[in-house]
Amino acid sequence: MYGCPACGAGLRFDIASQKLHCDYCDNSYDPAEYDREKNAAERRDGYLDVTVYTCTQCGAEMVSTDNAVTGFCSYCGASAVLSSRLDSQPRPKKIIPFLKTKENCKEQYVKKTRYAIYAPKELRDSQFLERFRGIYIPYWLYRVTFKENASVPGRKVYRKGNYEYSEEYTINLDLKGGYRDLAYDASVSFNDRLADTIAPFSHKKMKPFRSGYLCGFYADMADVDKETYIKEAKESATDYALRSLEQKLLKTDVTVSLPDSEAAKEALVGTSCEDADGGLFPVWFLTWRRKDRVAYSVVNGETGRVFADLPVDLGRFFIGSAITAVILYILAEWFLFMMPPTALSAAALMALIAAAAFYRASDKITSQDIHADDKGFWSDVSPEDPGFQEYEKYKKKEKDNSGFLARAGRFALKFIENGLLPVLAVMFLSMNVLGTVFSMIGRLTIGFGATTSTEAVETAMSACTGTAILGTWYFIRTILLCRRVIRVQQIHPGRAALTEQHRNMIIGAAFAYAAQIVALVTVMLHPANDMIYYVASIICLLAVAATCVGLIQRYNLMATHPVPDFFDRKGGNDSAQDV
Amino acid sequence: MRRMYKLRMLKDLRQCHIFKRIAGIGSGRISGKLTVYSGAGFVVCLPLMLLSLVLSLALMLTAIPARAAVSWDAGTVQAVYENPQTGFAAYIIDGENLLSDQEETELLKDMIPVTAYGNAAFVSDYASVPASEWARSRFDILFGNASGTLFLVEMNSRELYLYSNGEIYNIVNSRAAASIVDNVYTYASEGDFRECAAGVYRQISTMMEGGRISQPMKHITNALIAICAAILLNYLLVRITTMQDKPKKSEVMGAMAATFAVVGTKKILLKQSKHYRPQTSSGSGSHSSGSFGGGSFGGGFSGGGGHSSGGGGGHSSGGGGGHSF
Repeated sequence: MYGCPACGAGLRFDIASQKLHCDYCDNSYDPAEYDREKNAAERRDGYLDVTVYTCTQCGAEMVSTDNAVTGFCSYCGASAVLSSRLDSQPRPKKIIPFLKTKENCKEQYVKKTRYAIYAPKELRDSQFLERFRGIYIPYWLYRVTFKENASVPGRKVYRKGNYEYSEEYTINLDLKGGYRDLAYDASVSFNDRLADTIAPFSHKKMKPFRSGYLCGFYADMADVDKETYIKEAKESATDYALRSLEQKLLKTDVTVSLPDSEAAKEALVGTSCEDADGGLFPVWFLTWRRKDRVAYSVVNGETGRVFADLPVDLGRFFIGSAITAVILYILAEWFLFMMPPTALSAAALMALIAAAAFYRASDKITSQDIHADDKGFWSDVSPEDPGFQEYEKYKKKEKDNSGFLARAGRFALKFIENGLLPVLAVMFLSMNVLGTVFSMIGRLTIGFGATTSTEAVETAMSACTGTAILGTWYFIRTILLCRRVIRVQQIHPGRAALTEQHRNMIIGAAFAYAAQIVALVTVMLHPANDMIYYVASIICLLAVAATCVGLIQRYNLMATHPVPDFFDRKGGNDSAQDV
Repeated sequence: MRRMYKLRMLKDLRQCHIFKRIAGIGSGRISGKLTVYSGAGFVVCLPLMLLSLVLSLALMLTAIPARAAVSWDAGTVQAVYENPQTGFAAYIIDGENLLSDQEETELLKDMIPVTAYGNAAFVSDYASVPASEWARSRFDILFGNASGTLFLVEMNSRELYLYSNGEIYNIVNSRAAASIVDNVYTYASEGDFRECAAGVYRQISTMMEGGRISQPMKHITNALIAICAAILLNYLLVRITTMQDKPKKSEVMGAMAATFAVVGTKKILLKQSKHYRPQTSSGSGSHSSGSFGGGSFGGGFSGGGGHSSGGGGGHSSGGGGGHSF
């Protein structure tokens, strides 16, 4: 505990004034000055004396320079007495003190979550928001440098009169400097996904570490090895360097082709990562817990950027959906007319949409289950390890998908490769739909207004065939998600496990798929009796409704995390249970 | 009986989509809506077209020769009833002899209330054009642009079609017509054309008097569609409102301490080549005109609610709905 030089009461770091403040005698002290004058508590061997608090429920550890016992754990949300012990921790080099007060934090959080109308009402309760806790999260700050000279090939083509000239160049570049303070979170407990979302922390706000800044706050411990993110740091720095390079080269009139592979890019500029310093960055942390799931809300203590897990309160969601359904029903009764086969087409299309959404949610949950989005979790395994490979695949997908247009383009490409081409192949082979893509689109758009059964049946044939093909693709891919979990589980049984929620995942996907098959079989039978179409539509829609309910439950799994278990700091049971 | 048997066999064949298409090609029914294939589609579809042509020829040789439609005009038919208050008339033109004399008399009783709002006609016919077109053309012959309704039983394609115009069409629009026909087609499938037609006119009377037609299956289906759509829409809302935006690369770059700079560049020419390419006045490059030949929109759409394309009097602008049986 840091005592007030004037009265001896405990000091706390006051965010508004950025000074150590005594609430008893109202004196304030500069943390740097305070440390220089009262340096008895500081050790000179690069270590810091702290009190380590361990949650008896989940094993999460936090350090503090204070002696106060906390009331709850920030990682599992449990109200538990934390056991404590004295310890020495490596002293970080830099720190960004809290710049956003708790009130700022709450304001930012409320602003971010104002449209989440189906979030549990607790998450908006002002008393609950008082549980925001300031925690310093450890980061590794990497320094990357480059070689002094680099060469790139270039080409210039231009025309003079009736002649076209082509010139090849080598462009020699003189490089200087590098990048410092590339930050990656150094805590296994703090998920990389959270860290990436609330980034960045500005180097301009960093100060030399003084333990006084920790007064009144907690800090997480750096338990990820320094070497873990060297590769990422080098890749990022190389990427930034090449961007600067390209911008410089744009001013010349030469077209330059830079290499594609990471290794070649790094070789071009001679990227080298020397070392990393430890740093502590401020984060406001809030945990919401329901049964075996926790939702984290995290606010960057420097910029106020917010990440919030926002699960859905099922009761509110279904009430909202019921109100929407009533409105849609009234509109349908007034404006919508569908022949029975068209109604079946509509049911099949809804089944496809539900299947697609269900697959996407399941994919995300599976990635979370096996910590594919968290390199820190897999920092202790080799690159050949299936867990690490899942992380690499996830990282590549995120990189390829960055940017809305890139995402849209990749989605369209995947749709064409995996969905539309087979659909078109079947369409061309099917005697019922002879013609081009536009005939099919035209039939689908106008067919929903069909007023004769012939038109309606033709529409239904097109729609149900197409949806069944795409639905098969989604169903198979949903099942294959389990294979990812099994692959990791075989090597690391403690870090991933096939559980009941995976079985529920397949059941949910099966409902939507069954709906599509029912629709396809019905339309192939081409019954004369409309009642059969109606019955089939009703069966499909009930199955779709079941998938939709599963979808919302998937979403809640996606938006929350299993209660962590840090007793085995690299393991823990991540099996999920439905909220 | 023999004729009925042949009709039933033909009906079974026609229910098969492949033969529907083949018969359609053979009889020239779809000649009016021949689609234009794109290059790739044409290559794929060409062998299929040849096969279907061969099959349709075979079918034509073995199938019952198509009959010509019964030709009549307004001068050759007479109204069976004329409403003294409104002047609207009722016609029963049973070209296919689907109704006995007694059945026609009974049917007339159901048609009379409709004449309070417009003309009413029951027509059974054998046409070589789609039922919707035939119904409209018969309506134009009988009633021109006047208010009325015509229920057609078309025995070639085995289709029922209800066409309305004027005041009746304001209430019994295309969708309502499709609903009405939807409710009675099973009678036609069983051969009870009197009950089928009677059901049509009763429903029209109900609607014209302000009543509604009960369609429980349609309501149930609409309700379920609304529920599923509501859940999906709200799910989309949840996903949109809880999206987490990652920081832009420029933000992340700005946060680092960056001292990297390209302080000098030096171009060294390695090789230069020169090609003679005189500029042409018409511009370079070939422009492909594309082999796009998209299909017609909604091939097969011949539904009601359409408007007559020609001008002049005597053309109705109503619409209708139909059902096969």
